[in-house]
Amino acid sequence: MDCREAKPMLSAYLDGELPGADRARVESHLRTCPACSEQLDALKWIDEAAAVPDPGAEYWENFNRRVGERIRREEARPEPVVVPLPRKGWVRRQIRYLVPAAAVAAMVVGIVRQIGVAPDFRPPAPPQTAAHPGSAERRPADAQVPGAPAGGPAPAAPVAAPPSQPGVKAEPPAAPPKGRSPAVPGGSSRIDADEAPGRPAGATAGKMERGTAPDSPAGGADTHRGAASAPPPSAEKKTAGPPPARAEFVARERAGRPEPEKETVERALDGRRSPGMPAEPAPPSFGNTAAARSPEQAATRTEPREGSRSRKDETGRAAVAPANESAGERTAGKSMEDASRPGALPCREARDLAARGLFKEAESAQRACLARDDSPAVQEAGLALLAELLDRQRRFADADAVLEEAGNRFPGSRALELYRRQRAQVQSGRIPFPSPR
Amino acid sequence: METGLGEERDERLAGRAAKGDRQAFDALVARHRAAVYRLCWSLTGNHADADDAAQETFVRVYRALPSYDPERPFRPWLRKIAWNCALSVGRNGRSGVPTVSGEELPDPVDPADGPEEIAAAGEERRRVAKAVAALPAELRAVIVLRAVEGLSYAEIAETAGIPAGTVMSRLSRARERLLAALGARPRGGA
Repeated sequence: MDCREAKPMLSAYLDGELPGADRARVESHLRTCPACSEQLDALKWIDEAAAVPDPGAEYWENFNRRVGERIRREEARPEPVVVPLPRKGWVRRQIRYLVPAAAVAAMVVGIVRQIGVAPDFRPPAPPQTAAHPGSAERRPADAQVPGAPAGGPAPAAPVAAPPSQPGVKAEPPAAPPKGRSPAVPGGSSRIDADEAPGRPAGATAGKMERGTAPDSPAGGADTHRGAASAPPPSAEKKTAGPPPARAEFVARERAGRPEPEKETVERALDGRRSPGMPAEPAPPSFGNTAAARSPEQAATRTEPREGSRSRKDETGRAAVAPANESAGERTAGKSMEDASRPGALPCREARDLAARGLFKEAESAQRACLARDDSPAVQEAGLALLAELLDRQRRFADADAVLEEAGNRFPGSRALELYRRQRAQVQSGRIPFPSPR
Repeated sequence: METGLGEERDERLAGRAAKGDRQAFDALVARHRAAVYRLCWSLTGNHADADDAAQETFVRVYRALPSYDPERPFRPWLRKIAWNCALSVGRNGRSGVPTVSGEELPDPVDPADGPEEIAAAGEERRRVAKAVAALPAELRAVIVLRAVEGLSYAEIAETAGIPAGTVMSRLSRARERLLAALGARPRGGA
């Protein structure tokens, strides 16, 4: 063991928290390394000198009395103070702040996209089924079916990133979209509930079309605009998680009008115009690359979305886009592959190396993968894998940093949350590579 | 703190306090208030917020006692409540600017030391305490819980709701920062 390896372990060694083998190695190194021995002495000194300021005897003399007074005040209050206590650990704690923050970020992203991408975008006119209320308002959300699954990262969205979009679209209706924190099942309905921290954004999200992912760009301004008059709550409650198109589809199905909805969604997806429907501009995409395309490319652009939806949606939402499905699938598959292909080889290499226990080499390969492929899907999953590779090398601080960055870029990421839950076991070596995904 | 007997007594006191025994509750407060205050200070970094959080901790304990399970160890339960209160107060409290004044620090006196040694030791502790106060809350909390409270990594992890590996990495970072801030020079003979 050299100093580079020993120094990060000195802190845990001082605390007696190193596993036996590592402790023995550190001890062996300390016997021969004056520099590390001096470092260890310095750490001991820090611990011995560390102290918390004492408020003084008078403070303690009055402490119990003040607690009693405070209790009496609380009891006299008409409404008890709701003090959120995490029941499921830090993840649940984070959600209370991630979700509203993500919702606000999603709205900002959506607004920026609308302003920047399609300044002259107008919500499409209502379909011929004018009797259906709210259709016009829902249309934009519909048309704003979240963009390409392989769409690039949102142009200006450091959070509420498009990686959620594929998940938003792809999730079965009962499940919340990926863009939403997976620990908040029921998505906006939960936000609509009385979660105090989430109230401001949640209230906004509630005004938005329910059933949209408030933290996804799709759940941003588009949905907000589209949901100026929200669909019937009953329909939306059921679709607390699904993306706007799905929610509308369900609502329309219930209204006995699947065809127009399908038409609307189809049209939104592939840019076609149904007979009798007014000409409308192709809906802007939420992917940055797609957003830059011209309307005549909308068909190509939207096909991947459609195809990927139909391919991913096991509950049969493929029916939503029947005609273009084959083409869409091909295109979607191609786009998905394209998204992953540039990074596929090093990413696979990283996994192969890690499976053989070569975590250092796997880390290098994984970093190369991430550098070569900046698609959201690869980045999101790749950062989680990178964190695991670092943890397996006991470079916990580096893994912390990776997870923090990934969490900022992909709030509510299911992949990251899943890894965080397993992290303790990974760090202690209780589960082999790869940790369950 | 003592282990077996002390823990039994805590749980027993909590059980009696849950039944309305205010003396039992007072005893619990008196026994744990200093540790609760230190934990709250470790997260908030200033006296006013630490006081607020410590007070709120015992108010919550009082309200939660009826649902407290005496089979469950009292101190970890109490620490988690204190942790959450401190987080809550730290978010909504005052400026949160860490403050440490020299007079607040306890100065352990070694009978073998002369006045100069005692003064030097006190000054050193103040330096360290100020450096600790200047740490980010997440690092400050773990170093206080470890170095001052003597909690294990598992106990800190349980209190903070983070993995033990994260405790390890945060402690390492906290100590690195302290050494960088103070100069990696231990006291003579330390």
